[in-house]
Amino acid sequence: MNIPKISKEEVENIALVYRLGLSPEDVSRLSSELSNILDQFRILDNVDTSGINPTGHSVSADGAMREDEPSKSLPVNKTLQNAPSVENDYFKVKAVLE
Amino acid sequence: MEDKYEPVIGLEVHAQLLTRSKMFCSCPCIYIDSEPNTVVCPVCLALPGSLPVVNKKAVEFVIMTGLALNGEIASMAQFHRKNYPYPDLMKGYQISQYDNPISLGGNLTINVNGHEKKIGITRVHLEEDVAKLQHINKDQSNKYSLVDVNRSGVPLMETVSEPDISSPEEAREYLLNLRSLLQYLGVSTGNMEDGSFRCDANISIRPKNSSDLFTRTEIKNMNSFRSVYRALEYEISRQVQVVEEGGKVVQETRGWSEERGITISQRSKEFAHDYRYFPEPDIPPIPIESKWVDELRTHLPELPEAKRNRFIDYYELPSYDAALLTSSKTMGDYFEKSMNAKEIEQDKIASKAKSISNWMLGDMSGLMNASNMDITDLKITPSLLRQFTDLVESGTIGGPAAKEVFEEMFISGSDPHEVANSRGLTQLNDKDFLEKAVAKVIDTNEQAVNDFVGGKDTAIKYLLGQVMKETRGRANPAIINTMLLENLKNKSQN
Repeated sequence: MNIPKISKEEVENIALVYRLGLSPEDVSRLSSELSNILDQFRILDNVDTSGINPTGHSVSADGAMREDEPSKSLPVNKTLQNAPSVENDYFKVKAVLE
Repeated sequence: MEDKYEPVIGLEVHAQLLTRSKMFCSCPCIYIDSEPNTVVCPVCLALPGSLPVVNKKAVEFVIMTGLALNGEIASMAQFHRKNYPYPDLMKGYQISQYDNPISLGGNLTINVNGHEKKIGITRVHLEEDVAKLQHINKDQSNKYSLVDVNRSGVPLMETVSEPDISSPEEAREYLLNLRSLLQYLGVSTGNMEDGSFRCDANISIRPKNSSDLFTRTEIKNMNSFRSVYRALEYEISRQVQVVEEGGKVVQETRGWSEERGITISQRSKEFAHDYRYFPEPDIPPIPIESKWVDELRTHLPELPEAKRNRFIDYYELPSYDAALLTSSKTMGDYFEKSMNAKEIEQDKIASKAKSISNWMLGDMSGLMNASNMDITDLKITPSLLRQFTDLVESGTIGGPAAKEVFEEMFISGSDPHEVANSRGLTQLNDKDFLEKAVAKVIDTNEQAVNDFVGGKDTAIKYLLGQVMKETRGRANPAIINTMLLENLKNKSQN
């Protein structure tokens, strides 16, 4: 089979979107690994799905919803307990400007 | 430029829904008045193992909005994950809707300069609001962001219009009408200043009367109706200039700067977006049965257009008055409470309506604008306005005195009878007192009396003026006129 591989450019783009820092070695390794993973899934192309409705979800629709009743939230010290960095009860994160 | 190009505008409106609890958890929706990070829980913090559960009320609000916009309600609602890495999202994705929005299609009628136009609605869908970031920039080496998660998870309804809007005026009108509709439905406060009602615009230009489409830009960060208008006006002229100079408009997101009055490119490779939508595995699709939709349809409140028509038919108000009085739900409710029409005889309804409408749209609106107040802040209750107009119509207070009483009521919310009495502004109805004043004027103005008896009818005006002076303007001129005529008739017979 002549299967298109996942190019290095595609890997770099995915890394950018996910904010992953990859070395050039990572990029070429992942390019081949991700291509292999895709190949594995191509086996599904052999299944005859004609006459089967598309499935949007693995669970059947049960319509489980909650009533609009507020309840107690967490105390702020619990909320911030695992935060790597805190300032005045805010989570403190690296500057991200958009 | 106006002759050569026309703008093509589509609007995306995000409205926070007026539910008591958040979209996928039970935290109360009270972030505006809360200390940072005090209305959050494992679900809105996206702690491992937590699971979202859909708020039924929020779904109902979107169905109601879809129905009011003549949309088609889906038989199945499905949520998707919209992935993007930004610290305003705890989960790394926003739960939104992708190809199965709750409501599809529809329209909203607007009226610009007397012309009606239907603006198509693409879709109405449900998603969640995000956390609030504060960017701290102490110096080049000390920049960071502070995150308050309170707002994260508040139900957010997105209404997307077709690119049917062709001017900043139409955009403004569309937003005002949509906001009014949401307020009538009771699904959102529609407050733009506090961010409960937000608008992004997609805008492009094209040669007039052509179906060509140039590249569009997306405008964000418009925080008032005025800034939407200004931003669109600016962006149209910017795009025209780019094209006129032989350039091409670049597809990008631009932020509106209120201070500088311009839109600024936010294009940046660093923020390449690829949302990679996929079905939210934690929320099974929600069937929307027609029985549920029918029940919600039956309970829809009267909507602005229907109310306007009823005001014209029942209260016999001019369409101008009816349109202004129904422009917000609170205004229309205030009017009807003041009318209390059940207590009015049928043949007096129209005149009472016009009188209340005149005071509401005249002095009341003027005073509210001058003090930057909303009708909900008003101290004059509908019942007080009603009593006030009763006093004016019965002649108890009149003319400039009425305005003075109204202003005092506006400031203090006092009872109109009390204001008029305490300020000595009621018209004098004491017959003996008035008789005495008339007699005194006749006695002391021999010349004018003789002129009148001698056939100079206009002399009575002078005498009337003298009586008004004597009573410091509190007499009813019509009654004094009658009294004067009687007295003078006696004189001429003697």
